[in-house]
Amino acid sequence: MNGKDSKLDDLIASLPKELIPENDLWDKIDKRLDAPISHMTKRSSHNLWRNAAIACLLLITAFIGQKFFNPLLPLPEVDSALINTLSEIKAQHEIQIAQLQQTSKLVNWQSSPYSSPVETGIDQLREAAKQIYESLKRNPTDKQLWQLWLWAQHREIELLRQGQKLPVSQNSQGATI
Amino acid sequence: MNAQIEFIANQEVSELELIDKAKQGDKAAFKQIYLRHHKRVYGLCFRLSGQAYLAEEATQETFVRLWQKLPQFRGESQFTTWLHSMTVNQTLSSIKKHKSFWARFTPMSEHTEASGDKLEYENFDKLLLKLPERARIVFILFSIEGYKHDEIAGLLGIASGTSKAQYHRARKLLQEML
Repeated sequence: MNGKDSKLDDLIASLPKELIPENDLWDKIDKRLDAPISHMTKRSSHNLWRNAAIACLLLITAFIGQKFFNPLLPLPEVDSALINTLSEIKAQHEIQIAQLQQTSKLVNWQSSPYSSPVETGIDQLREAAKQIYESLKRNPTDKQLWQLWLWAQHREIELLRQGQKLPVSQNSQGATI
Repeated sequence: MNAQIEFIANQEVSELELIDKAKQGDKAAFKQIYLRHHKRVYGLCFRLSGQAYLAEEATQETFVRLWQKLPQFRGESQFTTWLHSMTVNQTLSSIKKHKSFWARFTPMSEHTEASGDKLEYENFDKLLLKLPERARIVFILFSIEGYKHDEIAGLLGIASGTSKAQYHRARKLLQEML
């Protein structure tokens, strides 16, 4: 192995340091020397990213802070218009409900053995709609809340109408006239 | 002997003059610098990368980078040392950019033959190409370019011990090939 070791050392020592490239490279290099040089060093690039990160962090903190510590800020103009619409829809819905209840009184809607679960359902829907309405007042631009609220109102009316069509128990001893 | 010293001194002075001119944007002076150093730069690039096309690309990149960085050269170190350090960094960067993960563990001779490279290099260079890439780079930097294991470790992002192990592995493989 010693012979090979010294042979290897000889080869390393005699290895020419220069090699000639197959192609002339100067023309390609020359063309690229005219290209504008970016003066931004690695360090200044890092500084730029750091400053941008700090600015983003400050903006996010300010935004969260505003939301967290000052939630009762006056709502913008668009929001007040939406809240007015919200109130109008609520008023119309209440009128519609009142008319339906009035109709049931006029036709002497009698109690049905199936009416209890329907009434419970209506009560639950009303409670849910009330909560959604309160949420909507705080956040009137939330489309999903709007859809949910309108659906709850629609469903309440549907249930009321279905309740009126339920079969009435025939009480033979009753005092129906 | 005196004539030799005078010749070397003249070479040094003219190189510094060329560098100063190139710093001012003199392309003719820069071309002279290129002509003086490109074979050495290419040799280093070729041995490190193991492929002619990669070596040519790395050589071009090195000189373009040299043109851009030349104003930063203050003459505190030898110009050649500065240039070679730049060459090594540029070649390692080119290798990283071009090679697939798995190709780093296979000998380069197959890739060279596959690329149709018909250059006739010294026999020893052919043996070097048969080494696995990491072992070859460490061997070239340590044995041929005179880098220390700590410096190689810093350049390649490996431990100094790993550099030593790769060097001994390369040496053993070369001895077996001889």
